[in-house]
Amino acid sequence: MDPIHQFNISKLIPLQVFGRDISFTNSSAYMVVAVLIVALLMIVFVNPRAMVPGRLQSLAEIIYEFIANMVREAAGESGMKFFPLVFSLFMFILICNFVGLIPYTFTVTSHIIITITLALIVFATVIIAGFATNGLHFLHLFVPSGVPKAVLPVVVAIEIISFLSRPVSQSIRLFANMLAGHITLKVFGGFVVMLLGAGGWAAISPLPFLMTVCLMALEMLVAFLQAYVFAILTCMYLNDALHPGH
Amino acid sequence: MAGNESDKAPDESEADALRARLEGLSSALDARRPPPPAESGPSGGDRKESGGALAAGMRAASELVAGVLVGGFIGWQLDKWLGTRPWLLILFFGLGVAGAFWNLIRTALLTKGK
Repeated sequence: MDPIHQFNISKLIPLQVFGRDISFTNSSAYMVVAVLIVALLMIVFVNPRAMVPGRLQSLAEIIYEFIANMVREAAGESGMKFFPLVFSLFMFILICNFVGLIPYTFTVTSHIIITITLALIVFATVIIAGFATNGLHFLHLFVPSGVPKAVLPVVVAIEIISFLSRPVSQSIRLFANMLAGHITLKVFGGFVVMLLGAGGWAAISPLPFLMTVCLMALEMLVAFLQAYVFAILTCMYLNDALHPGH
Repeated sequence: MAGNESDKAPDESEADALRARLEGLSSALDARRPPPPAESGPSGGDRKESGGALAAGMRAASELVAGVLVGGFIGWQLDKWLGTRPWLLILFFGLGVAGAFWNLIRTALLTKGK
């Protein structure tokens, strides 16, 4: 009945390397599952390379087109070299979110350590790509043009803080949405069980059950949207790195 | 369903027609590809109709939280380091709030401008 219990990490294969705990946990197991599902979808189902794609192949093709168009629109044609990164992030988050929606499974993306790691990968990529393609000109990102000299230090400080807040906002959004959604689902599910066990009150137990059904639909939308928002923000940040000074 | 006399021919011509159509479609797709970036600029497409508002709302909320958190954290750590409690925390908290709102305004302008 404890709504937080579903987020417990348990060690499946305890491992210690140089005094560090790198045990294979249930979280790792579900990450492997997610990667396997992505591989199944993108490698095995596309393998026939049919001229007229079957259902699963066209699903893979639709996702590819969707992300490719997104990268082209948000980061320009030169952003396409980061397509593998964006696509992997999108697929991993999407599948983790959807796998987590299946009852009794673990939601990898409901732990902030996972989402902040993904966000920091994006953050590091943006910084490296920015300096690699534009050199020191990349720093113009922090100095907007047409600002009076008197307020420039304040504006630069604000720009730097807003740049540093990117990985934080990216990771908090994903983790908080998944955490809150799953807790809500669990609480309403718990209501159904409690009411069923409360004698005459069982008569109104369909109400929270209906709510759970509606929430499930909402969570499916959120699961997709969070992956989408994460990917589109990655594209926008890469756009900043490739074309600074807008 | 057409008849028995042309059992094989329709199959092949159908495949040829399909191939031709596919090529035509993909070239049409290529022809259409360049315009969208030029028209709609580097902000998201119109494909986010249904969940777009929800996504934008969640973005705005997390941006606010993150700006304040990062600003406050920087101020707190600088204070600890320089021993100037609590002035830098207050300063950077304010800058964090300003940064968060600046982010929001920028996002809103981008969305409106497209």
